[in-house]
Amino acid sequence: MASITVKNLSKTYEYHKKEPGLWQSVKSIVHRKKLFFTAVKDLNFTIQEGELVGFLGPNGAGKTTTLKMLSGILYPSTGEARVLGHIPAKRESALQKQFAIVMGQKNQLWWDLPPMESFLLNKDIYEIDDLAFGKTLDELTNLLNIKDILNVPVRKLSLGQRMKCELAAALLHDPKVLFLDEPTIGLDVVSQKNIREFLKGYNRTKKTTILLTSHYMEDVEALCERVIIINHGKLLYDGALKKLVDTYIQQKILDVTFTAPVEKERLAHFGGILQYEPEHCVLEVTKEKTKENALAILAELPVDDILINEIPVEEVIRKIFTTQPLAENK
Amino acid sequence: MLRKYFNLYKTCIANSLSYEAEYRYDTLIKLFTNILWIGMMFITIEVIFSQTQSIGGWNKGEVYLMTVFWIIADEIFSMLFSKNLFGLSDLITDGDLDFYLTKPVAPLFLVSTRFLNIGGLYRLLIEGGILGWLLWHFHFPITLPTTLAAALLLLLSVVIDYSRVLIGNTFSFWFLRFDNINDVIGALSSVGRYPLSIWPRTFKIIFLTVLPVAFSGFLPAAAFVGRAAWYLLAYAVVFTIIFFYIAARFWNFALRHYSSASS
Repeated sequence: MASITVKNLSKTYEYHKKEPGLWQSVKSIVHRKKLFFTAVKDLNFTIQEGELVGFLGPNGAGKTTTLKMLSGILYPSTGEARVLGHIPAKRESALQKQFAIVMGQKNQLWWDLPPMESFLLNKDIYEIDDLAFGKTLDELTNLLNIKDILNVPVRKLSLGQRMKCELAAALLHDPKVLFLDEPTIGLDVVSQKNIREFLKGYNRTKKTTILLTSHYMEDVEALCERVIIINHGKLLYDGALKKLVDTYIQQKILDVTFTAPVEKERLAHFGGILQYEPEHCVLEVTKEKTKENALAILAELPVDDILINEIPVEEVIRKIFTTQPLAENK
Repeated sequence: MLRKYFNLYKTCIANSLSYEAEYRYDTLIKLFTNILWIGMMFITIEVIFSQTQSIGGWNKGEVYLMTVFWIIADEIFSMLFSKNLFGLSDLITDGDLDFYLTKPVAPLFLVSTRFLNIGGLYRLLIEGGILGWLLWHFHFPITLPTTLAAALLLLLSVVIDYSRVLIGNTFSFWFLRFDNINDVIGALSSVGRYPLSIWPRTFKIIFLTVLPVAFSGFLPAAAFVGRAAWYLLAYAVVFTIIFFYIAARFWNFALRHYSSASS
């Protein structure tokens, strides 16, 4: 069953242009030029129940706008979004009780109070009964390891601790759909990993549908089998992350260390030289020829060590963003 | 439904108490500045009445009464709502309103009631004491009907204050950083501390309709001393309902125009 369906969804913002300078400011009070900016354009996708999908795109691609339309914060300009069969813009509590949104750059916890007080507020907002609340809270505090900080004012928590509490606050009502907008932003490597592991386990055990945006490719690689990529509000790719690499990347990377110096000329016919030092080089080789070339290098050159690497996903995505528009996807 | 909001309000009170405990000294300092503020208002009255016996047909005791009723109405309003409503502009510019819109609860409820200024209770007690002393000092006759009428008008005036501030701050959906509207609203509302009769006819009408600021001090005091006609009371009830309705409609209208701040 589809949890989320998006059909021809578009959002156009109205904004005003103002030239810099005092006089222009005065002028802009009297007369402003009205401009329109299309943040999301004709977007289509479907997400099935229990999927964990990465939603990728550079800054300003329209990811957050889409998430906001899916959670009913913004009205779409045209097109339709449906979450669990409801239209989010109607802001019906029947839907609101079944989803949650966490934004890494905003906090919904009460700043001056311990997280527990915000949890209790959510308990009333979502009308969670005492028994279920106790059970869920127990689970979440154990999984996220936040038992000790429940009664410390939020402003005294570290960013990582706060993010864990934000997640707990959003999950107390056991949502069927979860929107995560850069949940790991600004976190250190360890905290990122903790959040990632938590999300992975949570999605597996609860079958919660999760749509996640992140700029950290480790997040995406660790969590998402499927990614949706957009840029300038338009869909670029929708499909398996693995296939994305297969489809768009024809090369592999050979990282070779030598026991004695090797001239650059002897390497050129194996593939593109990305990096060269007399005793170490990095080569870009087409996939079909990888094995063949690796064997040849081992046979012909004084090799100490050879590594065959995939081009990192981050690089793949960067390529997609910079070399668009792309051919037909899916 | 009602039970849910009742529970929610209870949690808001509990959270506000916990906040109060966190910032205990704030309460003390505010108590002190509040007393200074009341003192300033009383000095103004003393200065005026050192020059004259009455203003607009009202004597010193009656003007004192207006001021104290006004202070009490203002205190009740700020205890219940002010920190919330005055923060609306910030909620909108920072985009934190987003969260309110995704929760199964009327956004206006959370926006209005989330934070109660519990420390206001101490001040309310002191102000009640001042009222008692005033009644005794100026020998105001106390009857049940006039007391009830004054109390009713005082409550209505809190609703009017709420609606007025809500309308003013709802404008921040269009004009971000619109919080200085609250200085204007505050300055205007002090009209309620003086007899309405000092104003020309046009202003009287304005202060009872489009800029309803005469309700919080003047009207309850007039009712208390038996100088408010019954139809004025009836008018206050009807007007409050209409005004609140307008404020709520305006809020809903604005919510539809909310475009949210960027991530």
